[in-house]
Amino acid sequence: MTLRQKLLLMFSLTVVGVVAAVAWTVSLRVRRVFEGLDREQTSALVAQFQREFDEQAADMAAALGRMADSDPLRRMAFEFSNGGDTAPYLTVAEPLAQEYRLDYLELAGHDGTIISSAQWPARFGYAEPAVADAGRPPFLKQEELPDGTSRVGLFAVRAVTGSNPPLYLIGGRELDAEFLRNFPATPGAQIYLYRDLTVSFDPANFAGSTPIPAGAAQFRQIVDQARSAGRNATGIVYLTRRREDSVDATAIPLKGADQSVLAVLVIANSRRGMVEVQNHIRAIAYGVAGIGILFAIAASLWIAARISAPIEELARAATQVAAGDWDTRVDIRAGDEVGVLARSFNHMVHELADHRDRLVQSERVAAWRELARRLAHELKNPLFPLQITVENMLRARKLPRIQFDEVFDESTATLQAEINNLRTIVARFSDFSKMPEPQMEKMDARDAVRRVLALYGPALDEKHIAIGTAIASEPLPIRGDPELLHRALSNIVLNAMDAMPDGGTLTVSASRSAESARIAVADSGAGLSEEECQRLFTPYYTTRHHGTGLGLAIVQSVVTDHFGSVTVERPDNGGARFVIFLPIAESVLALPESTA
Amino acid sequence: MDAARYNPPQLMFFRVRLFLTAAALLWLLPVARAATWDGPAADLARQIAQIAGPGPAKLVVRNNSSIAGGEIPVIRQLFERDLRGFGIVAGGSDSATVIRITLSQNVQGGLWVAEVQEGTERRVTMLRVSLDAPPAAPGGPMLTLRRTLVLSGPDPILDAAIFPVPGEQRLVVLEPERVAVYLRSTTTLAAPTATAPVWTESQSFPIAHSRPFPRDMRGRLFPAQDHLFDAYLPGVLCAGASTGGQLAVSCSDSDDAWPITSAQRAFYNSMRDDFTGILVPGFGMELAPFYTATDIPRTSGSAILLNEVNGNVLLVENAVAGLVSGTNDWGSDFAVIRSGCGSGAQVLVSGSGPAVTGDSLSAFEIPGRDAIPVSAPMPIDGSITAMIAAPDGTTANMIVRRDAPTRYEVWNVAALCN
Amino acid sequence: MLRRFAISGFLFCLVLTAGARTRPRYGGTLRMETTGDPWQMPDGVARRLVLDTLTTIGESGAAHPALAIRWESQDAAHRWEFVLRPGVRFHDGTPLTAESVIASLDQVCANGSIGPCPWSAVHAVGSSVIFVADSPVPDLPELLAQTGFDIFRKDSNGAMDGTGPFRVSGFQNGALILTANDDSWQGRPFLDSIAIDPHRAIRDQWLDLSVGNADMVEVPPEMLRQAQQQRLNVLVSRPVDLLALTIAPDGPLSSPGVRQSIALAVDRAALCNVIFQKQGEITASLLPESLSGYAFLFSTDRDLDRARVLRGGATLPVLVLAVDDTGASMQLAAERLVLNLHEAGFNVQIASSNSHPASLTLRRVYLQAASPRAALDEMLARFGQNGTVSGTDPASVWQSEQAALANATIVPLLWLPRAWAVGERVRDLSLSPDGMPSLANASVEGTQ
Repeated sequence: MTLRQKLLLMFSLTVVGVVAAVAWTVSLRVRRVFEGLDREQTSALVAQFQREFDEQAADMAAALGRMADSDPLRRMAFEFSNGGDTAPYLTVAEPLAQEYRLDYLELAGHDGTIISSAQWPARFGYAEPAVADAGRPPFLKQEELPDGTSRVGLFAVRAVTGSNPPLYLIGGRELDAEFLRNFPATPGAQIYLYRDLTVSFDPANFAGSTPIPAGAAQFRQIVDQARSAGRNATGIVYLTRRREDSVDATAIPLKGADQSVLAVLVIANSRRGMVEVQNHIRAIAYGVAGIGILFAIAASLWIAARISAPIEELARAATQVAAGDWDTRVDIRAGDEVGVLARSFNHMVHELADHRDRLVQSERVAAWRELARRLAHELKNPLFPLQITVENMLRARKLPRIQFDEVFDESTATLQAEINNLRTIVARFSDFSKMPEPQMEKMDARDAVRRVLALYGPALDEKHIAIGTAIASEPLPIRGDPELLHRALSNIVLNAMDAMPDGGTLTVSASRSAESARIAVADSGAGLSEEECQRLFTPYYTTRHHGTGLGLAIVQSVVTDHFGSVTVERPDNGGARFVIFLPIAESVLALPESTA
Repeated sequence: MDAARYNPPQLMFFRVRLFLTAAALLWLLPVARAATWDGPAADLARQIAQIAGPGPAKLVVRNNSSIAGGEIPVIRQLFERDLRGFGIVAGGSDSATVIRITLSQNVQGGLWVAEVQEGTERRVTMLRVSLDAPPAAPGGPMLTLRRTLVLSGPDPILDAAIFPVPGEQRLVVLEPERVAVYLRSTTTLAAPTATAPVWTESQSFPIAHSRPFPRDMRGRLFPAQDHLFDAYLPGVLCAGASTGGQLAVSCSDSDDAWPITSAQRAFYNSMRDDFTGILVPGFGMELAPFYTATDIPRTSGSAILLNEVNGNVLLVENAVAGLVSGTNDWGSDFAVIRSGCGSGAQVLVSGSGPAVTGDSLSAFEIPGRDAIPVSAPMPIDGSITAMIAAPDGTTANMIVRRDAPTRYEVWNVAALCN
Repeated sequence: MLRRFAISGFLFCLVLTAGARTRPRYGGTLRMETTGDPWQMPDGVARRLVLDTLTTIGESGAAHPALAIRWESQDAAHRWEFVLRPGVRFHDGTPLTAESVIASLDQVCANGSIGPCPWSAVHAVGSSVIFVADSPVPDLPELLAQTGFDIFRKDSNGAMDGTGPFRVSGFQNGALILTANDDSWQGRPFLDSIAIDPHRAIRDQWLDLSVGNADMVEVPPEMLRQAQQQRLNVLVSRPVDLLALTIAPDGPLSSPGVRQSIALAVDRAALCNVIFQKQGEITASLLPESLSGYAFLFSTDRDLDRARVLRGGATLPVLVLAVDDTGASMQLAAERLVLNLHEAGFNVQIASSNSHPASLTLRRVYLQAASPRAALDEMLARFGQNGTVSGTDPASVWQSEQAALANATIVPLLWLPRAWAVGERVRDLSLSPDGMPSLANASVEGTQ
């Protein structure tokens, strides 16, 4: 991670932490405020419902009173009091109930015997115990219906005015969706009635002025609570997993004359608005925080850039210097610590360049000395036989002709051999100086390996050197000059052969390593010292008593020309291992196997 | 002309005598009725004895039938007597055996049902009983009209008339599908309140016709010159002749016009129930279809009274047709009789009057163009299906249909001067 | 009971004679409205007017000639010969022959609409139709008067063609139009046509009558009082509809004692006095009292204590009560029965679309026959009971009925009349003994 990234990260985390803390605090506070408001609204709704309920009851009782005062009912009562037949009035309750907008209406005689029933016409002749509640304020009552169900209704009992014996009217309105619809609509507030308490909780028993929500089953807890305790129960009910679908619910138990709970009224005040406002505020906070964070990041970027740019320039300059660009310098823009550092860097590079020049000069001298020594050494070896031969020939001039000729022939042969030897030495040096430019082409690295092994296989057998190969089955495509690579690998193999004069094992492998083709040639010879390893690729360095010391230098030159690298390793089990890495040419990955 | 009167003075005299002695006979009524129920009571008692052993029993008699309540004690006494004959003593209210007799009836007549209850076991026996008690005497004329029952039967009657046959009188009754001839029966009346003479059917002649008769069937009997009578029916003419004391009737398809007055005939629509309006000889004027037409004596001579299908009543006098007012309540059947009362002739009209359970019969006079009622309406407990003046013109025959059960009656109606 | 009978008779007579002072006039159209299908079996009005039977029923219940002019039985009522009326033609002009009568009766017997026919073979001999039965059929003439044995032939379109006083001429504005058959063997009817508007609600019918859009409408028994209060001209028949509860003997109520318990638990008086406004006749008999004369022998008393004892502690499922009539009064009666049975310990629900098969059914059964024996045979057939009345005397009829009711699978409740309100312009309209209007004899005022 760069300095700039570290700085950026640090700045960003700091800003985000601060913004998050502020947003959480604001959100919490807002939620509490809104929940408080919501509870107040729900309480107001409950109080309003109680008032409306009382008004509805009064309306219903008033309607029943008007009916009791009406002429038709009074005439009917008069007729009954004079022994009139009640049968013709069997169906009178239903139209009366419709006229006075009642859901339930029964006409009952003085003994409570039903004369006409709107809700259950077949009940005529049966007793209606509710007549005992004549004159009482409206009350709740469970009303049995012909289909076997029962409904809760708000009832009142009145005697027809002037009737003697009394003719009772038992009228009521069902607590159902229609009844609830009479209550003034409050935005967001819903009223539901849970009616059938005889069986376990079933959402289907809910009735409401609006469609019953799908998650009505979630009211179970407060409904059961209100049922069992007989008191109002409140709570937040989540109808779905979404917070918007939650309601602030109050369950009100509706009790009959005997204080038994007949139904439970649920006032559900939707929290959607509150949650949406909360979400809105939260979204704004998050937006502001996000923008702040982005701004902070941008600022952090700028600041980090401002802080890190000189250092990065220093680092880049150091890298260039490390890469050999000794002319690299950094600008000194400020007089702060970074400016001092830049000045010191420039000074240090200057000093290092001087030191390097001097070192190069000394190395060049050393190299020339070594070259001279090597040349001297190389040339001295053939010169000595030449000198001996010449001296022999000179001495042979004194010998008889035949012997002289014999000596002459031998000497000339020796001279030619040594001269050829000299020529060879000179040619080698000449070749090293004339290393050709590589002719790059698409090739499989395995082919180069196989070609070398095929070439030197017989020679290795002669020297009792076993060959171990580990060549990848997949192609190792590279871009390279097959001849130069062959030459480089041949030099390594020849070196290995030289390292195993008494035989041994030559292990050659070709494999893929990351994005490179790895070619390793290991011998089981005496191995190399650490110092030898470091100098091995220096031109004209050799550990042998013969050789120009140019073989591995050529190897390194070829590999470098192929944008690869060559190293020498000292395996634990002895010997030496040369490893060449050549970059894989991806574009030729699809080489057909036949070309591999 | 006496031979043509089918309500003979002898019978009339008998009726008067009957009414005068009715009160005296009232005390004898239970005895007479007891005789009526004696047989059924004995039969049922016998059946009871077969399912109940001798001994004391509680007897309960109740009446679910049309038998008058006053007759129940008599019937109970009959049962007690007859049961006692079988060893069953009615009485003990604490008896283990209860005999419950219900005097019931169904569509086929009376049905007496006896239930013998012994503990929880109940056995039942039944007996059909005829309830054909003689009909109650009809209400007599209140003011000027008086009617006398001539004949009663279950089959539709279109017309009836008595025609003299050497040695006796024959009542010829025209029915839709036959001509029936009745002889006066010599048996006495079964009940003192009966008013109908007893006629026994002696001959019957089917009426052949190739086309269906109309639904509202009408027919008339007229005395004939060269034979005994002609019977006119829609599309059919029958001729009745007396040969050696026996009547013979022959019928054939005919579209001859029917006699409506002494001088004129009218064509009858054989597919309907009215006359087409074409008279022979004609008046020189076109008439609408009518139901009834008859001549009516006028100071100027004679006129024709027509009852058109559209409800109008026309008086055609001196070839001038005029509407008669005051005929809104007139039915479609009327007959003119010469009673000698008032102007001398009255029109007996069906339908007018306040009757609610049946038709009524009223007498009108038409001094000018206005019909003036001259009698109180006579309620008729049935529907008047035909009014035909008797051959002597002093009385009229009235055909009445009564329902539940359906019966057709022939009444002779006379107007008595106050 | 007697009083009610008398009242019914009074009304019956009242309308029969009212307005009969002038001769009926030909022509005009009578507009009639019904709640049901005028072609339905067995009491479709139109069916009665278009199709004839071999015999008809008179007031006394005896068979009268119709398409058959006479008949006689042979071989102890095993063989009957009915002589056809000559000259009768179907509406399309095809003569009525013994073969066409047999073809019609064969179709009736084959489709089973009236249950199994009581004869084993029928064949033609000249203009006579011979019926041969394996067992005696003493009341075959009365039986053949029933609507199910209408004589018809099917035309090329499959439509039924009859010999009746009216023929079907089509539909007009939803009303079935019947036109007079000029060649009717009974004589052309007075009316030119009859328009029957089916499936009309009672209230709509009454409204149409009051504004003159209908001449004849139905009056359900429970609305008779109301009709009289409104001074409608009402025709009331004798009791022809039996309200009865049938109990399936093969379900949860297989125990005769439990069925008896149900029979004892029903409160007929409440049904009659309140729901049917005292217009019915409480009965426990398959025949009305006026027809049989012995119906009082079947107790109609409610005995709740004994019902509870008979029910005992039997564990019964929820019983389902079906109603074969959608009328409001029938539904109300069914609800009342549910309450009655609940008092005796039965848990009963009225059948709905998703309820179990009904073990109780409240039925309204129509009776055509007017003689005790034929009527009992008809009722037994209508209730799907096997067997016929063995003897001819009233005691035999009673014993047969007693045997049919002994296992309490049929619980007769009420006998109800049928009634019609008639407009002022209708004349001479009467009801036949089976309670149906004799429209062929009716006419309307204001026509030429």
